[in-house]
Formats: sequence, C-alpha cells, structure tokens
Amino acid sequence: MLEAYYMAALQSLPHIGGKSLRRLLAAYGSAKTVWEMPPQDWADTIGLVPEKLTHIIQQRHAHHWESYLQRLEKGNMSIVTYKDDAYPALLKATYNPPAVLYYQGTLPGDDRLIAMVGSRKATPYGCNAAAFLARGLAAAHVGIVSGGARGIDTASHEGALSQHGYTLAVVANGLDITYPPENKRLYQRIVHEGGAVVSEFAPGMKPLADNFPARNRIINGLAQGVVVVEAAQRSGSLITADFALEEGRDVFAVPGSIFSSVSKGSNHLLQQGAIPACCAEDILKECGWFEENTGNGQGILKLTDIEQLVYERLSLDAPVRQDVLVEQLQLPPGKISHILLQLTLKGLIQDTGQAGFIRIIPTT
Amino acid sequence: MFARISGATTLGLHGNIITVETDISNGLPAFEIVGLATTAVKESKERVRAAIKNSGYEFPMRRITVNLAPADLKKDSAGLDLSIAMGILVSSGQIPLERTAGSLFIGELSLDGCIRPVNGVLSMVMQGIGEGIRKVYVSPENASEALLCPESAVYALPTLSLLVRHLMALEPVAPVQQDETCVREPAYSVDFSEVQGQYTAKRALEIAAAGGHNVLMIGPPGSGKTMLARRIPTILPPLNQKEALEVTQIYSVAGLFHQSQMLTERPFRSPHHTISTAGLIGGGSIPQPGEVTLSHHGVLFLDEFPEFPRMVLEVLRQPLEDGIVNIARVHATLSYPSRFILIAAMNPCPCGYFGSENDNQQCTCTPGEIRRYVRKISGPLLDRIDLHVSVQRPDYGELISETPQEQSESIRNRVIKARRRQEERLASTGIFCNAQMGHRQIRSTCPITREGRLLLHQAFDKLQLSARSYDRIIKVSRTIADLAGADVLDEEHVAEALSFRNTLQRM
Amino acid sequence: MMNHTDLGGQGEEAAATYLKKYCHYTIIRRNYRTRIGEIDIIAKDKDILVFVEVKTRRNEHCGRPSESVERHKQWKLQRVALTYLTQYACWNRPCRFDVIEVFFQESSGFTLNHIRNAFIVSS
Repeated sequence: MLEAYYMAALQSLPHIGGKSLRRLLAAYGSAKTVWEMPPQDWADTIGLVPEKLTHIIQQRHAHHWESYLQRLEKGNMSIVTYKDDAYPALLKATYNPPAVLYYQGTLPGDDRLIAMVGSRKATPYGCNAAAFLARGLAAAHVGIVSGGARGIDTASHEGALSQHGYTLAVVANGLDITYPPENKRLYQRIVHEGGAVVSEFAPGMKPLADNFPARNRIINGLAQGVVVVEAAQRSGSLITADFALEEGRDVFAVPGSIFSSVSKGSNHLLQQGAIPACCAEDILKECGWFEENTGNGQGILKLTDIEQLVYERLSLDAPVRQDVLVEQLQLPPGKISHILLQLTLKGLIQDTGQAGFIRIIPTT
Repeated sequence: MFARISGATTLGLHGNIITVETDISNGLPAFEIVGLATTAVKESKERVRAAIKNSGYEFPMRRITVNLAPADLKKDSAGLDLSIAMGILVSSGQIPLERTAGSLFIGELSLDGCIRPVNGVLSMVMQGIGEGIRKVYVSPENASEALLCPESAVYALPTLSLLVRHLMALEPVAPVQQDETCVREPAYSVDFSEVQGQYTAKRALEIAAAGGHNVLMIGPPGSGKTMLARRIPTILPPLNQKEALEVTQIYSVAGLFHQSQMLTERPFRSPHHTISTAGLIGGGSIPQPGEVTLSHHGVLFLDEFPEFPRMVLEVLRQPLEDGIVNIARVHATLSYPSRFILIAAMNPCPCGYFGSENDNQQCTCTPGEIRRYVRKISGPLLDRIDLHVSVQRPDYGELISETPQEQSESIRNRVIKARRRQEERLASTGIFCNAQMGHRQIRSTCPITREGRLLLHQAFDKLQLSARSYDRIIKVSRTIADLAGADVLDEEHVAEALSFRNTLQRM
Repeated sequence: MMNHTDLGGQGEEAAATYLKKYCHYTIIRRNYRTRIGEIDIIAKDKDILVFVEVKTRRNEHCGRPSESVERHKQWKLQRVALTYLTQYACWNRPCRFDVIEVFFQESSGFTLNHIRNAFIVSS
C-alpha cells in the first residue's frame, strides 16, 4: 500500500496535525513504519499526554483498511501529500499546511488562484457582485477558490463555471458527505468541468463547526489573495481575511451599501486597508495579471419596447417588487408577469422570491 | 288507545321523520320509550310528564308505551318531546287523532309546558315535505327556519296548552307568514378597494375565486394576508338557490342559524391553529359539522399554516380531493359536504422576515430552521394548492398613494362571467370549476397556442419545474383565459399562471 | 303499651276501615302473600284495581312513612302485583299503586295520609 495512505491514516487520528506528522516522519522515516508501531512508542516524540494517547490508540484500533479504501474508491477520491509535486505550492508555503489532502477532480495546474469568501445569507446584490467578479477573473484564466457554502461561495463557483473557468471548493467534511446538500449538483459540475473539491478530512467526517477554521486556512493558503464580497460584523469571512494577512496575501473587499448590515464587515475591511474590488480588473491589476483584452461587454440586448420599459426599472443593486412595477407602469399584473417571465427566460433577471426581481449578469 | 304522530330528528345534514307510536293500555302504570333512543330522549319522559301536567292536561296513570320508529335508527334529539307529548294526549283521548293528520311536531318541552327551539329544523322540514307533511308545528324561535320551505304551513306556538287549544279549534292560530321570499343580495361590510396596492395578491385571489383554486399566501407579519383573505367572499359569485339551501341546512344543523332569512353570504371560516381534528372535519359522539363543512361553498382560511399540527392538516386531504368528508361512527357513517376554497397563509420563515429585510427588520433564522419550517407542510398538501403568491408589506409610498383601487363589485363581475364560461364548458363532466379538472378534462378543454406551448417548454427547462406542476399551471391558465374571455390559452395566460407557481422550495 | 308489630296491624286495620267507609272502595284482599313479598291491601276503586301499601309509625322519628317505600320496595310491590294479576287473569284492568301513611299518637289516635298513584312501574 502506498505511503500516502499511511500518511492519510495517521492524519485522520485525533490530535495529529501537520506539524506532529512531519515530526514523526522525520523521526522514523516512513508513515508506514509509524503506523505499524504501537502509539505508546512514539507518543513521547510529539509529547502526547496520556488521555490523548488513549484516544489515539482507540481510533487507530478502529481503523479498517478495507472499508477505508473502499470508500476512497467509491467516491473517486485521491490523496495528495505534501511530499508530492502535485501538492499546491502556495499552500505548501504556508505556516502549517496539512500533510495530506483528499480531492476529487483535478488539482490546480498553476498559482493563478484567487479566493472568494462571504456571507451565507448573502443579498442578491452580494451574489451578483460575486458572480460578476468571478466571471471576470475566470475570463482572465484565474482560478476561483471558495468553500462551496451557500450564498457568496456558490455564486463565486457558478460565476467561474459560467466562463468555463477553473474553480476549487474546499470543504470542512469528508468528501463522501455533501454539505450543504443542495449543492450536490454544483460539486458534480465543478469536478466535471475540470475543477476540484478538496478536503483535509477523512471520509466519514461530518461538517462540524470546529472544522471550519482549518478549512478557511486552506482556502486562503491556496490563493494569492482573498476577496471578501459581503461580510457582516464578526463573520467567519473576516477571520479568513486575518489568515490572509498573516500569510502575507492580498485582501480585497467589495464595497456594499452603507445601510446593509451584511456589508458592515466588508466595508470595515476597506477602512482597515483592504483593496477595493469593484471589478475583476481591480484584482487582476493588483496581482500583476492584467492584460489589455477586449472587454466582454454585455452585448446588445434584443428587447421589445415593453420589455425595455420593465427592464429599465430593475437594477443589479436591489430587487424590485412586482406590485411596484404595476403601480409605476400602470399595467395589469398579468401583463407584468408575462414580461418578467420573458426577461427571466432570457437570463436577464431573476426572481428572488419575497423581495422581487433583480437584474443579473447574463450567463451567456 | 293507539296513536301515530310524526316527529323528527337529524342525522348529519339529513332530516329523518320519526313515527311516534303511542299505546295506552291497562295493566300496571308505566311509561316506557323504546326504539333505540339515547339517554337524551329517555329524559323526555320527565319533561313530557311535567309539561302535560303543568299545562293542565291529564297525564294518564296507565301503561304507556311509546315506540319511535324506525327502530334501527338511533334517535338523539330532545326535539321529539313535543311529538311524544302529542302522542300521549291523542292516545289518552284528549285530542282527536284527525286533528294531527299530515302534521309534523318539532320541539323540546320545558317542565312548565313551553315549547323550545331545536337545531336542524330546516333539514327536518325538508324531509317532512318529501314524505307528505303539509303542516309543521314548531317553537316560535324556529318559525323562520321552518318557513324556508314554502311547501308547508308553519304554526308557531309558545306553549303546549296553546297548541292543544289551537288543535281543538278553541283558540285557532293562523299559519306564520313570511316577510320576503326572495334571496337577497348579500351585503358585505368590507371591500377590496380598502386594500392599497397588493395588485399581485389581489389578482391571485381573483383567479382563485374564478376557478375555485386554492391559494397559499406567503409574507411577513403585518403584510395584509388576513386583510386580503377576509375580503375574498366579496368577490365570489352569490350563492344560487341550491347552494344557499345547503349552506343554511348546514348552519341549522350546527345550531348556528339565527336569522330569519336564508343565508346568502358565502361562508368565511378561519379557525385558529390550535383547533382539533374533530373541530376541523367534524366529529363528536353525535357527529357535528366541522370547519370544512361550515365553509362549504365558501372559504376556509388557515392562517399560520405551518403551525397547524401535521395530523390535523392531513385530514384536509379528503375534503380537498373529494369535496366531502366521511365521519365513521359505530352506528353509521355520515357524509358531510365540504367543497371550499382553501386560503392558507404563512410566514416565509419562523421569524417572518426572510426576504423582506430592511433597516428595521432582519431575518434571524438559520437556513436549517427555514428549511424545517417550510417542510412542515407535506408535499401532497402543497400539490393541492394551485396558486402561490408573495404578499409584502407596502412601503410608505404605496400606503399613502391616492391611486383609486378597484371595487370588489367590478372584480366580482369578472369572476361571475368567468364562472359562467366554466360551467358551460364543464356542463357534461359533473364538475363545475377549473380547479376540479382531472388530467383528462385538462387535455380536452385546454388548447394552447404554439407560442404558449413554446413558452411552457422554455419555462419548464429554465425554471426546473416538476411534472406535477404542469397540470396545475394549465388549470390556472385556463381560469386566466376564462377571465379574459378567451377560448384558447395563449402566451400571456400561461406566463401569468407560471408567475404563481410553487416557489416554496427555493425559500 | 302497643308493641311494634301490633301497631302495624292496627294501622292496617285503620287504613282498611278508612278505604271502605270514606273512599267507598271494595276491599278484595288483605295481606296477599307471595314468596317475594306481600301487599297489604288490594282494593277496587270503581273499576280500577288498587294495590295499597300501609306504613305505620309512632312518630316521625324515622322519617315520613311514605319515604320508606323506596325503590327496592317499589320493585317488590310491582312483582307481587304482577303475580296477583297473573294468578287471577286480570291483566287488562286499570291498576294503581297507593300508599297510606298512618301516624299514631296516644293523644289523638290514628292520623291517615292517603297518597294516590304514589309511583309507577320503572324498568
């Protein structure tokens, strides 16, 4: 069996992190050797207290190679260790990178990666902004790293996919579990389109709250910079920004409405010195990837007069309710519904439910 | 001597004529009532005896046997008191038998001989007329109800002694006259024009009223869902004669009918979500109509829909599907009609503010909480709801807007026209509104233009709609087309129907 | 001093005399006994058959005499009456149960209270 599997098995033991693992490997040579030793023998090398040792012995005993390998096979999971060339260089350069990563799909081929993070309860504006930036970056062959969560993460991944760009999702659970469940299709698409879903956790691990800080570190470690699209005060995304600063990566923030509570955090970042990201070019320029290219403008929209009337009343910023359109345009509700449906089918607007209709960046 | 007097009880909505047979003979003095009578009827003995005595007539101290026929029907009405008393008076020779021929006696007796009102008189009289009764004797409080059946003469006397004197022609009384016989136009105290804005919601309710579709209103607290729901009866077509009679019968049996006229307004019922299953579909040891029956031919409004216990909501499925509700009891299975329009209202999430956040209100729910809340409503129940509409709090500008709003009456006229078209089209099928259409009727009565079909196709792909929602959307399109006076469903009708599709999952 | 049973007998005698003289009833039987119980007096009031239960007391100490014709006693009287009717094949006669309360006081003698139709048959 491959050394990588032994390493992965060791990493899956509690209280064994990247640092401990590296120390053990340095002391005993190979992961296989360490694994086959009784843990009591190497406990002192990494200074384990007796309670933790008992815990490790239990888990090691509970490890079943056969079922473990079966799970890897069934989920099409591969393993990459910090010793392999394929291990992302930017991540390896961080302070305490995970020794082993599980992944599905294709690992990034280069370092042109930007992380995008933000609130799970994102506003339609935030999602539009994330999609807009992701599209722009993907069009410039920059890969998008994010967490696969609801809200900003999803919008970022989808923005990249719409331009057939590279995107990588880092999750806080085993790859045999899908979290959040509604993103099952998204993960499938990411892998299918040449991207990757990555995790440092062994199959079977649930998305526990404690896992998220580690996962955020990885998101940040993989990329040149991180864009905070929408964050409330004291949100997890702000902590990711802190990681970025620790590692010397760039921090960007998208300005939001000064009245919006979900932008208070991201706006505050700007005050603290984050670089404003109002379009993909802002990011590209800062990272030195900017090339003059023919901007992909929106193209001429073919709308009828009455569709134009309605479209003009909508914006990318905030949704507008159907009743307001009825009142302003003095048209019957049926007619307004019809036009809104046409615009939706043309991919120009989206129904956000309670709040109304909002323009979206066309995905064609 | 032997006497036969007609009395009555109700079973469900149905009236039953009971033949009260009285026999008085020699032998040890006794007073027995037989014929599957419940305790309530057995208590009649004491009331009847006291009433006869206190009215100044002789209560024979002989062997009295009263049989309530048919013997296999359970009788449970104090309203048989009067007929039992009459039976005794006739068979003891105090009233000649021929004076009671062709008559129906309904009433409870108090100990001093007063005749008291009972529930369900309308059903009893209707049944009596069907069996040849031409004279009805009731308590004065029941007179107006009995008068709703013009085929019989109604005599209302307050006491037993006055009744006997009337029958003996000592103090005859004229039959009660009716004030008005025509069904009046209902007069509602509310109107749609009182609601500012809410055009989309009003339109959804108009479609619901026209086609009999059920509606789910989703919106934050204070957005006006209840206000709108209460005004739906004002845009429903008036009850026709048959419907008015049915509704009056129901309310009469339930003991809720207290007026002198037939009920003309469509019922509007809005039970609280703490209601029990029996309260909703009917029940009790003597099955009484539940809310679903009390809203027959009208509207059942369930506010805070997810707060209703799942079990209680499940029992809605039979009435929603079949339009009747069956209540099984030991001695009979009763069937009550329950065809209503269901209007359900709910918040989009437990705190209510998801999707309508502004500076004052923020949604404080986690996505998991929202999902669990929305999932409280079962799929099969949602399948029966054809229209989903979002109701939002009007902003200040809309509230103070001076734009005149459409009156209920003008909306109602459109609804009536649309209903007429439906009735003509569905005349031979046994159903009478679009919402009831099954797959076959949909295929045969809903032609769609080419553009309409194209739009449907695109929408299904793009919006990822399910096959089950297809039929619903066509039905709603059919109603929209009826409102517009069109025979064929076109793009616009389909588009509008699509705008009311089920969007609950996304929330 | 009159003892208990003797008082009862005297009371019955007084009741019978009263029925004959004052009410003009015909006395048919006295102390009709069956295995179940007995009826004190069976009399005829025109064509109605009257079954009479006589209750004698010295004073009101033990409650009014008629109150002692309680349910069980009533039931027994009914059964006995039925037996009589069957035995003498007079089913089809009008019947009645009466109770006569007799109070005795040394000073005034016997005082009678005649209750017609005291109770009817109950199941």
